[in-house]
Amino acid sequence: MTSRRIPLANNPNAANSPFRNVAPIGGKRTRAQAADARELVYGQPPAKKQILDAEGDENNEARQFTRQTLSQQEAEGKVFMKRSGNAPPTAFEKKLAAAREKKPAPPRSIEKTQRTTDSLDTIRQWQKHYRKVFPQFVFYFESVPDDVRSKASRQINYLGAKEEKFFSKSVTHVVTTRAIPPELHHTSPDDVHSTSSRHDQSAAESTAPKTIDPSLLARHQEANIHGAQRRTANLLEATLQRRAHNGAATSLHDVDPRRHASQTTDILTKARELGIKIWALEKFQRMMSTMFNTETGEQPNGPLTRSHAITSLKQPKEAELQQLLRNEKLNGPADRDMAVATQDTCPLRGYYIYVHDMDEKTRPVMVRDYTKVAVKEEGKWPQFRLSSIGRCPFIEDHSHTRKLREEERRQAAMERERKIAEHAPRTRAQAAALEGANPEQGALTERQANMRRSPRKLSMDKDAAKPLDPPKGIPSKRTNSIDSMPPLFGSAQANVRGMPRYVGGEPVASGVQPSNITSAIRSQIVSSNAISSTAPGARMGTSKEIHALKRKVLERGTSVASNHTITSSYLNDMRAALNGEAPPATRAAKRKAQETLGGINEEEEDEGRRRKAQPPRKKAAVERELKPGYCENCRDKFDDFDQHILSRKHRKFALSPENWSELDALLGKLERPLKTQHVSSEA
Amino acid sequence: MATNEPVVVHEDEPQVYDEAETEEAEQVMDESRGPLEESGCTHTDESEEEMEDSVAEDMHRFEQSFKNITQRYRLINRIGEGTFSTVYKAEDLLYDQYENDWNLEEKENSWFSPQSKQRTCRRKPRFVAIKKIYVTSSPMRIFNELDLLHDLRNSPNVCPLITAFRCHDQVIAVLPYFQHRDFRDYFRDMTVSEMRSYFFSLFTAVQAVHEKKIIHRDIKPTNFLYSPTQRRGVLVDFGLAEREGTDWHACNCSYDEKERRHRYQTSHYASMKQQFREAGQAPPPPTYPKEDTRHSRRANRAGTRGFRAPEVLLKCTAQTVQIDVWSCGVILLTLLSRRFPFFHSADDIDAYIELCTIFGRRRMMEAAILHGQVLQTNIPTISESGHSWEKILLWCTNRNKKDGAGLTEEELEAVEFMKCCLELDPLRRITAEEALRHPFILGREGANGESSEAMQLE
Repeated sequence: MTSRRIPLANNPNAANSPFRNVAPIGGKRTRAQAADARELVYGQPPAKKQILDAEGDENNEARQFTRQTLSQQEAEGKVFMKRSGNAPPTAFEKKLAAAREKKPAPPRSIEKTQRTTDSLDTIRQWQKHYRKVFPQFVFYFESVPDDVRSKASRQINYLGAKEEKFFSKSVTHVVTTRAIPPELHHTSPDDVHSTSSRHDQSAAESTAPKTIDPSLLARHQEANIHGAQRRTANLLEATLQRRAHNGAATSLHDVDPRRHASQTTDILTKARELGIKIWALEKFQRMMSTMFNTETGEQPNGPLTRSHAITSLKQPKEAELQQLLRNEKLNGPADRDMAVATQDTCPLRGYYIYVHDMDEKTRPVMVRDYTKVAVKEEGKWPQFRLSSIGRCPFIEDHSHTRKLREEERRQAAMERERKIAEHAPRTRAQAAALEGANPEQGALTERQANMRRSPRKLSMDKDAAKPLDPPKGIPSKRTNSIDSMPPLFGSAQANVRGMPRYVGGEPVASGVQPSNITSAIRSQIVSSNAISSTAPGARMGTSKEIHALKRKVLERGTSVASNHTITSSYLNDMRAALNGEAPPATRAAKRKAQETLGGINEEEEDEGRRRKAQPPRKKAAVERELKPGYCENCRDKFDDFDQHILSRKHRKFALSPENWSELDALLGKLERPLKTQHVSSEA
Repeated sequence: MATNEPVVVHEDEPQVYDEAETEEAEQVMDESRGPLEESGCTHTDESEEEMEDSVAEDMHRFEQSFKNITQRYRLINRIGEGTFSTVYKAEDLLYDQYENDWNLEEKENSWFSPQSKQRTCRRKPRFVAIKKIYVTSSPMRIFNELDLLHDLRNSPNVCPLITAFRCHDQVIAVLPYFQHRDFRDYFRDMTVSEMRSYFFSLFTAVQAVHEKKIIHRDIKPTNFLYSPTQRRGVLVDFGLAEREGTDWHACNCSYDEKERRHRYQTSHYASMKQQFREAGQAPPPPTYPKEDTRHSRRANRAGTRGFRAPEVLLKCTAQTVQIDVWSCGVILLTLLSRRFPFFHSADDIDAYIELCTIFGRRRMMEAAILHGQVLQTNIPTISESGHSWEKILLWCTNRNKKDGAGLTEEELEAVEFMKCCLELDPLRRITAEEALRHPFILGREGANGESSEAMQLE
């Protein structure tokens, strides 16, 4: 597939990218440049900045990378020739069997002449492999400047590897700026084995066999007639087999390096002795740039040669090139390690819902990530909740659950009594009655996990559902709980999701209300919960106005709560805790903003109702509140409806007949027909 | 006359900007008020007397500013308000000067005793509902609503428009004041037989609207003023209504099945999935771009949360009249489950999760793909295949099949009908016309033989 490219947005050249400046070669091709190159078919294919993990002359080899096609091909060919030094350059096919036991020796000379544009996949396989084995790597930076080192350290951490501050045997790779001492092992092939296996041993055993899906290779061999292609694919296979072999052989050679331990004190020499890999810093940096750099990563399929373009179009998916490129831009290369999120994407870590375009042409329609919870009932997402008849089944019904709890306690008390009674003589009837009461407990604890309940509870629920029963806090037909709520939350959403079970890490018992919390405050709290649960993801465009409204709401809330211990800051904290992040513009607040648009004042209505409920507050302030909103005609937001409609701009609109001609024509049709007899009588 | 309660004829629904679109210049006001918060507009008698000062002041100013209105109507009280309008109850002072074809009650009574009516009616005050559309609403929006109402003037069970006036930027619509009962007064006790009548009446209106290729977009109990005793209701509030095909863009659902399958198979998502399969890797948890420069999928989402069809939630760009049928299904669900509101969605995401909880991940995924969307979720309360309606309804009504209290025959029939309305795929969802021929509706009292009109007169 061609969609392997890290999104442009991921460009490591971005100012704050930790990967910045790690690509000493390979120039910073902008996307535009890449596009140019794509258009200019005659343009020279850019270098593939692949990194070699060869031993011995690995650094030298790497240095051969240039933008020149031929050397590039060469490099590609070498990608899988990690232990190239010893074997003679013979035709690869013939050596295949041998390669399984010994190191493969790819025919470099032939490679040179081949164009292997289609070896991308194998290279990607290689990259993928390295991303997998990286977590097993332990780096030691030797003679590396601190600033470079800290950056490098971050990078390897990102890839899952570790940095060792002190040199030890646990180190698998030494990165140095000094000259690299010659390899010691050229005389002893066994040593090679063991050194290479040192870092691979754990990885190889676990990952190597599955690093490459053989079917992939097979597919490529079939799909591509290209000799070189096949060759590289074979190479890869051989390499992997060898790797696996090494892994198996490891145990035999494991102890070998220790024999030669420590004659010299130089770390590099020592590293050699220990069979630790030594990379030049440049090599390391190139490695990193391949791992992170969009440019490098995308290079292979960015500027397409003709042949490549054709192959990609021949993809079984019949996907358009254009689309694939776009997909890449959006999603990054498919072969990157998905467990590691790129810089500009947010992984969904908790319980999420993600609804997005199957072609990624548009923004996701829904993204929401809920914190993972131990018990799913504690989750804030909509789910069936236990509630009384008449109420929304998705909202927690506290009065209802409280009732259930009470019932539970009552049962427990009865149980205790029964136990006490057991010692005393009792009648059969008593026992039966008590026994009969017991099964309910099971049903209670089951809660809504299963949707059934005992008949006794059923009747209880009916009680709870009875309307006009304010003490129980059950919504009645007319006077529902919303009436007692602060006006802003006069939305159905006000009851949302009920009380949090955890606030700021502290569990809050559900169904038990602190005695100093009145239902009004509670609904306020619930309302803040409602906000959080409905607006977790950061939303754009939080206007000042909305913030202001929100503040206003909370102020109102406190005025209700002022007699009690709960303060608005508490509410804020609570909301923040619930959000787990900065609370963005809330739905409720927004709604409010909209509701007030055009001067609706549900508040007044609520105020009115409250007045009825609370005689002392009978005299509601007649003071007119500002009614902010939006005027469709002036395309303006306004702070006060009444003021706006008198504004010059608005009046001008109102008095311009041309704005109304169409509507007037319709109104002409809507004239009320006069009664014929009435007309005649008038006449 | 079963209820003496004065009732609202028409209340406007406040609407809210789509939060996803607010940053864009063209703001879409598409959210109707939630079912609970708004229905408080049905005032009782005493509230009529107890008028708030602010309301009185507003009314006074309205009378002052609108030329000659006092000669025609006497404002009595405010009975509802929304984002785009306030509705007042008023006495129609010049009732007798006009043809009042819209007054069904009158027509029916005159059938029986044209003479007595003449006399009594002279004295009886005639009430209308005056919808004062806010001056901040664009003439286009107002035009749209009035134009649709005008098109629907002879449609059964659709609230007729008596007339409309303009004075400068102030437009008022005069509508009948229709007797009805608050949904919350009866949704707990409605029998299946009453539901049949309710839905017959509702679907009669919906069918008439759909026949004109108009989508109401905001069907919910508060917009269907139903009088259980008269067994008749009227559909009101066309403030969000639109003609089918407005702003139409091809959505995945507008292709035939074969094309849809092909599109899915060649989609980015499917190819990514394929890649992972080939690579022998499990697809990673999804990530989404932090700063997304793509434009968002735009579609009319006008309506009320909890009543929005799945295709609306998925921002389908080729919505049809079938979205209204879904909303009707939600009303039936409310009645059968005795839960109002049944869905309680703060936003479309919540709404979708709620649907997922019921329908299960698999079917919701299919529903999403139909509109070119992919659903990925790991929410533990969303099961693979969801719950059956029967189970949900029993649970909602605290019944247990084991106790022999399963759904009744009647209820099962109602559930069958509801399933047809709550079909996730709008293409397979029952149409209003088909609904009227469904056994559930045909099985209503008085459906055979007696004319429904005669029934209503009893």
